Order: sequence, then structure tokens, then C-alpha cells
Amino acid sequence: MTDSLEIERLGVFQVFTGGGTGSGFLIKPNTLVTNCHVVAPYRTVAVELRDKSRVVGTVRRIHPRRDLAIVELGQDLPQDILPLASSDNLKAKQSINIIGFPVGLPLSITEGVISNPKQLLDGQHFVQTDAAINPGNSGGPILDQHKHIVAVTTCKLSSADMVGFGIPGTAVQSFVADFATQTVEFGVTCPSCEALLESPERYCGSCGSDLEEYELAAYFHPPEAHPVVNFVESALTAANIDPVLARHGSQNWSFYRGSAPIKIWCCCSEHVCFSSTLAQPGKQNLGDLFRFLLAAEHAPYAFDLDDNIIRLNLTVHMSDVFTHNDRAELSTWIGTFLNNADAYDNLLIEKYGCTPAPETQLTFLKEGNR
Amino acid sequence: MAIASLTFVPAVRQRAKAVTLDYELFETAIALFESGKTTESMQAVFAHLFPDQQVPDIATTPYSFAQGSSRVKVSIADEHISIVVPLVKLPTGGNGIAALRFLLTKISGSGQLHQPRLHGDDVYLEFRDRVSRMHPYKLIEVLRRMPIEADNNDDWLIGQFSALPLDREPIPDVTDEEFERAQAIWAAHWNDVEELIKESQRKRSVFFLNELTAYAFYRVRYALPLNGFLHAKLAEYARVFNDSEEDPSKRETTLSKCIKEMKAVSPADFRRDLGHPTYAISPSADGTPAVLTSYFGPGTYADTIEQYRTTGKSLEAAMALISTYTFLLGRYAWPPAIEADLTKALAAASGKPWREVATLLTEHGKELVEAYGGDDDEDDDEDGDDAPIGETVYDESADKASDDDREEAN
Repeated sequence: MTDSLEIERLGVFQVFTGGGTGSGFLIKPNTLVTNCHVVAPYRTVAVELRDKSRVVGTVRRIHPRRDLAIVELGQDLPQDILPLASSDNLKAKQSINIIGFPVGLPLSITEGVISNPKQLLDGQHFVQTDAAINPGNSGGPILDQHKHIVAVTTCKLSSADMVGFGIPGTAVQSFVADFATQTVEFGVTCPSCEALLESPERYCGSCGSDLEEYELAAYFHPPEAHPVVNFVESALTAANIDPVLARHGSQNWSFYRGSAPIKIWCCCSEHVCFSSTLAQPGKQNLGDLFRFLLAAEHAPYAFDLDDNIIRLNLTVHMSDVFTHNDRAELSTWIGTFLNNADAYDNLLIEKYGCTPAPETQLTFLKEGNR
Repeated sequence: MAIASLTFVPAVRQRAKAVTLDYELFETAIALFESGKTTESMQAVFAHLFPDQQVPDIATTPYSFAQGSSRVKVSIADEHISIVVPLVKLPTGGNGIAALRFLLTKISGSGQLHQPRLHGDDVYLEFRDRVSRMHPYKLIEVLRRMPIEADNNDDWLIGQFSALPLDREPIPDVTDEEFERAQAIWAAHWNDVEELIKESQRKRSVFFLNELTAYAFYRVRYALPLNGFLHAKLAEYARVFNDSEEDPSKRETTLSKCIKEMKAVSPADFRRDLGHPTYAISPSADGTPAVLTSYFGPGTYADTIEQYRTTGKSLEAAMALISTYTFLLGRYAWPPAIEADLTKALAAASGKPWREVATLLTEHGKELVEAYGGDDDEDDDEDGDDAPIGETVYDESADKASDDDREEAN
């Protein structure tokens, strides 16, 4: 149905937040549908484009019970918008394809059939499928053989094989139609009557349902960030990096500084690690290269070889996150780390005959595609 | 003929002197740091970590201590603390490139505060930071981990790449009498392991292999004061044969190769790598009540041994128990009473048939838990001195059933 060339043209993108990553698909050039659990409780998310750059998306509407969300993007995207179809006529054994970013891999497609077009779970109907669903697929489209979106991937049974679920296309159509009439910046769909809630009221103004159990306040007022998040993101802001665009799951960040890919994560309860994969050693002058990498002058940064890829690293102790002594200097270290990573990949290639590491965008940038 | 028993003889290795650390002093150090008295806080950390030593005023006087072959130097200047351990002087030629690659691959890394740094041809492990940012946790981490890292790698760099020693702490030799005893233990041990690996190949049991490989490494570690390149080589082999996630065939092959190489070591080379190093900070993790309970208390591991013992698989049960006792002695530092109890049990089991050993040590294990066991959760060390080898010897982890069967796919 969909060959590998076509896949890149489809308006399906990876969505990044400080809680994790998921998938989402275009319903308009600047509007994406995904799962509520992919974006909540964040009000701004990042959407990664094919060239690995990211754009900010604003969460405009969520439906916690139906697990849907609408994200408005800061720019129009040129990829194909697939039609959203009704799920009313789906049949068991009908072929479907799931598109998304399983376990963070690049855009992938899996095949399967509809196991039950109207499976009842927790009082709601789902499209049940045997197609492989993995973490990262959430929010991605389920397509029929006509490339129509007939459902949105949401969950699977962990204790069973090949039992996955999608939100029926008809429910998605209804949610999108409701959003079309929304005039407020952000709204939540009432879990009972599906009316628009504009503030975290305890009782729905339309149907009077008690909404206490849904804890809607968290969607309107996201909880305070963890100190590690505050520490890293204030340093990134100081280095002119938009933290929203850098987030890659819980206490994880990934982004490019120029041509250098940067990763930030907590490797344990004691360290925050900053690392950038820069280049691969060539075959000549290895002695000079290795001596350069180990030179004392690089402190507080250090190079290492990870599976024959040269990385630049900086480790910050967790105590530095929770105390504020000389914080400005640490922030400067982080800013310098980012700039050094961007500069060193060129230096290693030009002066020491290294080749670009698979992850760097050096080749890509030179081709002028960005 | 199949091996019928294992013989236990007392260790030649001198046990590290048990030091009781004053944790109140450590808490004082934290309070001092939090009130802005960072130099006083560091002084309190040193007093906590080295209760038997007269630590000078580190704000004005450099301080040095020995950790095996590592000589650790601490100094403060320009509001920065510097902690340095000389590692090696680089060799010339192809070996130099291999040594540099080893440093970049195995010793440099993310997630560690110290790093190898090159000054001309001299390699040091170094840490430097502003005094005002030296939280006691950070200081303790550097003081514990960096010297052990140097101690674990300098002999490998010297033996494997012909690097030259650089300002190392001398290690006192063993006596002639100790050498003779050590030789006897060494020869008997590798003969035993050679026989036992045949059993492992016959049984094709990962459980048995896990127990055997732990015994192969920790018996040496407990009984012999082995240092230098020979110890580094053994540790290198153990990283493979003791890795429960590695392919069992590869583990067996590696252990076989190790046995062959260890049996071929000449008396002169063996003696060269024996000695009694000094450790200012205990290189062993503290044995705790929870550790004892985790091995001998109720649970999957004890159940498995009991199942072997009661279904006629005495060798498996006995091997597991001997291996566990040896592991506990080799891996942890225990209060004298517990250590004496552990060694007494191994001595009592020495030379006995597997069935008797299994019964004797099963009963003894239960008594140990009754006398000394507990359920605190501080059953792991901070120093990570043998993290590449020991952490997964007995992997009792198991997937836990989820309360909610349905999982989101984000």
C-alpha cells in the first residue's frame, strides 16, 4: 500500500515533550492531532521535521477521556495531509497500517488487520488490531488500504501479544469538528458530555458532572518542573537554546548546536551528563589525535571514544543542581560546552582527518539542505 | 573422575582493617557546606573518611594518601581543590597509540567527575573544582572512585602496553612462607575450577555456571593478595566469564582460556604480583544485614538452592553455597564476628561430600540470617570498585506483574 519513498511524504511527525515522545499527524498544514497522554501536561511541545530541526507546537485542545489532543504549529508543513475517515464501516480482518515512531526510531510502518472494529473497553469503543504497537507509536495514524486515517493509535495490552487499540476515526472527526469552533487559546473536552471546558471547574457547566476524579486542574496549570529540569533549561536558555525544542522525555534533552548533536540526561541519581558525538577517528595520525583528545587543557570537558566515535562530555554533580554556589560559572561551562561541540567536530575532521560521526549533520549542512 | 569436594584453607590475603566511619561527622560536613563554610566542610569529610589518620589543614597543606598502588594528592589553591592520581608514563610507538586508545575508551567517559589528562607523556587521573561547590557527596565520590579507578588500571597499562610506572605507591612483598601458601592455593584453585568447568559443560546449567564463575574469581580475591598485571588479567577475563548477560558458551570458553593461562603463570611472575597493599579507604563494600538476608533469607535464590538440595542435585546446591560464602568474603568487609562465622562454615565444609556441604551450609546460612540478618536497603557500595565484575553475579531481579494490564504506547 505505502512504499518507503511515500512514507517520508506523509504528514506524520514525532512529538517531543519533557515527559516522553510520541507520534502525531497533520489535519491541516499547521495543525496536528496526537494523543492527550503524549502531550499532557505540557502546553508547548516540539515537533521534529524530516531534516531533524524542530518547531514549537502549542497544545490547543485536549480530550483526556478519549485520549486526543490538537497541537497548533508555528509554521505550515509541506507534507501530505491524509484524510480523516469514519470508522463506522470497518470490518474484522480488514488490512490496516500503523505509522509512527516506535521506540524513537525513524518513521516506520507496521502492517496488520483489524481484530475487532468496535471493541468495548472501559465504556468506550476502540478499533482493535494485531499490528505491532510500541512505545512511541502513540498518537500516530492507523490507515486503511485507501490511505485514510481510520483510527489513532493509543495503547496496547502489555500482557498479551498483538492486542493494540486505536481511537475510532469517527470519534476523532467529532473531536476535530468541536475544535473548529473553539475560540479560546486552550480548552479541555468534558469527559462526560464533550462540551468545551475553558477553566478547571469542579462541575461541568453543561452537564453538571463532577469532574474531580479527572484532575483537570493539572491540564490548565502544569505542575512545577523538577529542579534538574530548571537547572538544565535555564542553562539552555542562557545559551540561546529554546528548552521546549530540546526536550526529549523525562529529564532528557536532545538537540543540535550547529552541526553537533547534543544529548543531556541523568545517568544516575548523582550526575547530569552532557555529551556530543563529534566524529570518527580516521586511519592516519591517530597518536596526534588521541593526544589532543586527552590534553589536560580541555578540562572541565573531556573526550572519550564510545564505540569508536569521539564524544565530548561534561558531567555535573547533582549537588550542583540543588545548591546555588557559583551557579553562573556552571551555566557558562554548559554554554561553552555547546559552542565547543559545534567547533570541535569541524576541527577533528579538518585537522586530524576524522570522518563525521553518523549522527552529526555536517554532511547534511554542507549540502545546503537546511 | 568427577570432582568430589572442595578444600578450604585460610587466606593469605590480609583482611582490610575494619574502620568504623563516623557518619555524624559526615552530617556535620553537610551542615557546614550548607552554611557556606565550605573549607571546614571538606576538612570534616576528610576526618570522616580517614578516622585513623592525622589529616592536615587541607586549606593550607597538601595531603596525600595511598589507595593500593595509587598515590592520591589533594591540594587547594586559588579557591579550587585539585585531586590528582598519577597513572602511567606513556610508552612510545604502536603501544603508545594502543594505550591512548585504551585511556579514551575505558577510562574517559561521561557520568564521572574525574578524567584522565595528559601532561606531556604523563597520564594522570584528575579532578578540579571550585571549593565553594565541593558538596560532601561530591568530594566523597571523587575520593572513593578516582583512586580505585587508577589502582584498577595502572597495572593493565603497564603490563599490556609497556607503559611506565608513574609515582606509584610501593606494595610490600609477601613473606616466603606466605608465598608458599599462596602457590598451593593458586594451584589447587585452578585445578578445582578446571574440573568444575567440565561439570558445567556436562550439566549445561546457567545457574551452575554463574556459581562456578563467581567462585573462580572471588576465591582468588578473598584468599590471595594478588595485584599487578596478573590481577588485572584475571579481572579482564572475569568481566566476560562473570557476566550473566553474556552468552554461556563464550563465558565457558573464556573461563577455560583463563584457567589455562593462570595455570601457566611462572612462580616468579606469580610472586611479583603478590603483595600487601595499603588502602586508606576500604576497597570492599560494607557487608550489611540486608546482604546476608538477600542470599540466605527467604526468597527465590534460597528456594532454588533448596530445590536442588532436595532433588538429588547436591553438587549444584553445594557449589552455590560455597560460591556465595566465598563471594561474601571476597566482595564485602564484615565485622570480625560475621567474618569468623563465614570462614568457620567454609572450614567445616572443607573436603566434605557435596551432599553434606549442601546440608551444612544451608543450615548455617539460616543461622547467619537469624543472628545477623536484617532488611535495610543499604546493600550496595558507593565505590564501584568492582562494578564491571560483581554486580550481576546473582541477578535475582524479575519482571513484576503490572497492576494495570493496559499500557500507553507513547
